[in-house]
Amino acid sequence: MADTDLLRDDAKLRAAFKAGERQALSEVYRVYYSVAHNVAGRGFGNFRGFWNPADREDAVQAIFAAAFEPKARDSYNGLDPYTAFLRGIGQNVVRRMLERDARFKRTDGQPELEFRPPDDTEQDLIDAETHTVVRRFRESVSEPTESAILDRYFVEGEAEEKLAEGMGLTRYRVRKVIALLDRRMRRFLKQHGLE
Amino acid sequence: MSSANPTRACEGARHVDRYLDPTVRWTAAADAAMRGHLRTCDRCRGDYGRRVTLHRAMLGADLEMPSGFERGRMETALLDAAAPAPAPWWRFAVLPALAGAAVAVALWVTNAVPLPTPDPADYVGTRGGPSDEVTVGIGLSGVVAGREYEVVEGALYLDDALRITTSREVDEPDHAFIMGFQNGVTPIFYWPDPDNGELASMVVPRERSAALRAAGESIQFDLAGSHVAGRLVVVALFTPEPLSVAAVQEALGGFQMGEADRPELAAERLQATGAVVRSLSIDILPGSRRDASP
Repeated sequence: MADTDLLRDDAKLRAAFKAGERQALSEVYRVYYSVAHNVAGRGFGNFRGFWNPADREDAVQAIFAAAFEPKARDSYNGLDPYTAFLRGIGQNVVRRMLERDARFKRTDGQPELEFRPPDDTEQDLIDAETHTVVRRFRESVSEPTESAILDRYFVEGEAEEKLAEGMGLTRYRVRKVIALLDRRMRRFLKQHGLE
Repeated sequence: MSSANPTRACEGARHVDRYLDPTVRWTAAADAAMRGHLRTCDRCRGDYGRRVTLHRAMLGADLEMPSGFERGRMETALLDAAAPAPAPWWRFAVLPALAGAAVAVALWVTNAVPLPTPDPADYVGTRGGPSDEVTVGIGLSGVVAGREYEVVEGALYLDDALRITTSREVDEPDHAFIMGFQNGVTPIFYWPDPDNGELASMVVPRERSAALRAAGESIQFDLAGSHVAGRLVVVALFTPEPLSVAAVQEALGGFQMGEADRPELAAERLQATGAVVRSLSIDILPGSRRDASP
């Protein structure tokens, strides 16, 4: 596999990114999201990652917020892969989170780099059963337009404008379907006693 | 029991509701408020995890990874903070109308009776202009020994407590951010309360003269300890979306209460947030209303 790195290899994007242009930041966020997510979710060194989605996603946001600071954007040299650069920022951000938050403090005086949930097999089984039930919602959406919008908007995160353009629908129509799907999801959860 | 930092109802569920609702616009302030709250609330952190995982399961997506919809929310919040999009047109329409006015002031003094129609005599300043209809407002009253009293001649007493009411006659703006300013005193956050993990403005009811409430009970703020005798300017910022503490602090900039001769200047600075601004000015007198009353 070729050693490619978007921000390193695309000088125009890099210049726009360094200038803080919104479109460039958006592209960098989308392309490198998984890098920040892996640092927060899988960890590094002795840190095995945040198990809780709230902490994990808080860390992802903090990593990108730090990476989008003017000083951090300026300091990327454009020669090394941005993946490695972002990973470095991510590790520093996570270390600071672990140091700052008393929830992550260990009592043995060692740096807190391991924060894992207690084993709870029973709860895991209940969760697995619940998720099996909930996954049936996806199968209940069979109308082609609704199914496509469910996939493209909710799963893949495509923007409304692009969706409307790509599907030959008005934006109003797309919004109506999104709202309809949202109502159906909430109703489904309620019917199964999950909301 | 009155308190300057009363315990508040948990806001987390409402944040997560909005986060997962595609019909609600998501902003940097909303994201900061939700994540700030989650950092401090074990119960809401667990609830967030359960709800986003259910959301992902319903979509047939990876349970460990935010769905595309969630990533869109996260991205919007991040970009709004890092590279804000141009301000919406309505700010350009509304702000000039506000800029010429000194401070929008609606002194709706409340008591245990329904809020009266604003009387021009109650206004201690000027409104923002003809386009700034009085559809939102605030009121102040004093509380001593559990009894509420009217702000007579624009004064409260330092040994008493302050009760703040809001009035809202429209669907939006529905979020309020309420602060107090006095010479020589650090700006006072009434609503939200950052010390309590609240990092953005919160919805107030669409009612007239509704007291700020937490956990079903009206809040009152002890004046002693957090206030001093002298002029107090209470400023309320009404917005359709949550307004973050950071955005308010940025608007205040280097405003130093200790150096300022006029706390009213704070309200002017806060117009930079683009909010509908309501402020009122009262005097805090030493002692208690109990001692002053016949």
